[in-house]
Amino acid sequence: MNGLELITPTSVDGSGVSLSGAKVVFASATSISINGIFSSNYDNYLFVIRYVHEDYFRGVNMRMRLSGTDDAGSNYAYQRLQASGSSVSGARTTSFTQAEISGVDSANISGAHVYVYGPALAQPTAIRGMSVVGYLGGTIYDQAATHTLSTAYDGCTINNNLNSMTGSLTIYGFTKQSVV
Amino acid sequence: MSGLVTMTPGTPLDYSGKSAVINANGGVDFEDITVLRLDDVFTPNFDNYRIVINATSTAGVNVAMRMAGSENVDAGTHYTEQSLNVDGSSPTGARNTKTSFSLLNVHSKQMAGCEAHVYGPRLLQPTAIRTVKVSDYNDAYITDTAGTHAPVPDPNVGYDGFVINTLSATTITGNIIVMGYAE
Repeated sequence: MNGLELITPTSVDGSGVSLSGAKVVFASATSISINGIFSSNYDNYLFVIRYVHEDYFRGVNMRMRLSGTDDAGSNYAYQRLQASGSSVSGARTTSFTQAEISGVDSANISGAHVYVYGPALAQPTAIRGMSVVGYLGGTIYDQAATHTLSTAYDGCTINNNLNSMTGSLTIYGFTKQSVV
Repeated sequence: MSGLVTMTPGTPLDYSGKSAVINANGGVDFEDITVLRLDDVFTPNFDNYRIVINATSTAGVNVAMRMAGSENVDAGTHYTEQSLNVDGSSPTGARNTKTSFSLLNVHSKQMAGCEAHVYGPRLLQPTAIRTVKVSDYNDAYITDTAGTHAPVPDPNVGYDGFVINTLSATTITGNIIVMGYAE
């Protein structure tokens, strides 16, 4: 059994958003809604995201989603770690309407691994983003986030604060370990 | 469907040192080498890849990674890298333009490891890489990086492999495996 399994969304929503097999492709998209990815088959998930274009450096955010509706309440908190040149800094945002998970920059390739822990369980969700942002050729832009509602979600929406982004992403489930 | 697919390198393996062999899992076990080239590990079938490497050495040495195509290794000053280093209580950072990525920092006779996430190396565009590393420098040391590779004059080059090399005559012994993210 492979420890990581590819997940195909049941559908996607958003202007410029489409499915190519299991890959979610987005072109000049401001909001990427992904449905039918979280289930009882897995507890924990990995998003692998590749951005190839944006207007300029800014954060990318995630909202939890159930049956086609996002939770846009002030139920998110995130801690950011940023390393750019000799500057290493952190910042925490609480009671926010979305969780920052990554970043993207203008015309420079950026990439992210985003780990989502327990989104389909009836408990709060934890998220860890780990990115290379193409800003100035390379910037570390990581996040640890939580979502406080004890609701089981089946999808999410990724947005860029109403700015467009182009790229693709794939989603994987971590195989559950057998209990002996 | 499996999310990760092992990318077995093409043969014969090109290396400098005592030995390098492909193991039963598709990774490469290497012993006392200074250079190892892995061809055909980046393919049109996948956009993004994970590289996992561990190594020991007889002395402190840094290990670099350069993108390689079917013919050439890009040793130009086309690699920009942001580092995040945590040594004791003080995290520091630095951004440098270099002739390679930093893949591994081996101190001496202890284990060092790296997981590298590589975004779009085979696509006709620049490549991005994010590493998470443990070094045995000062017993335990965090030295993560985020970098991009954009060759000049055309940054939109696809590569099918890469080369790792130690930045001195010091050899390393360990294992490396490349996996593609299914899509």
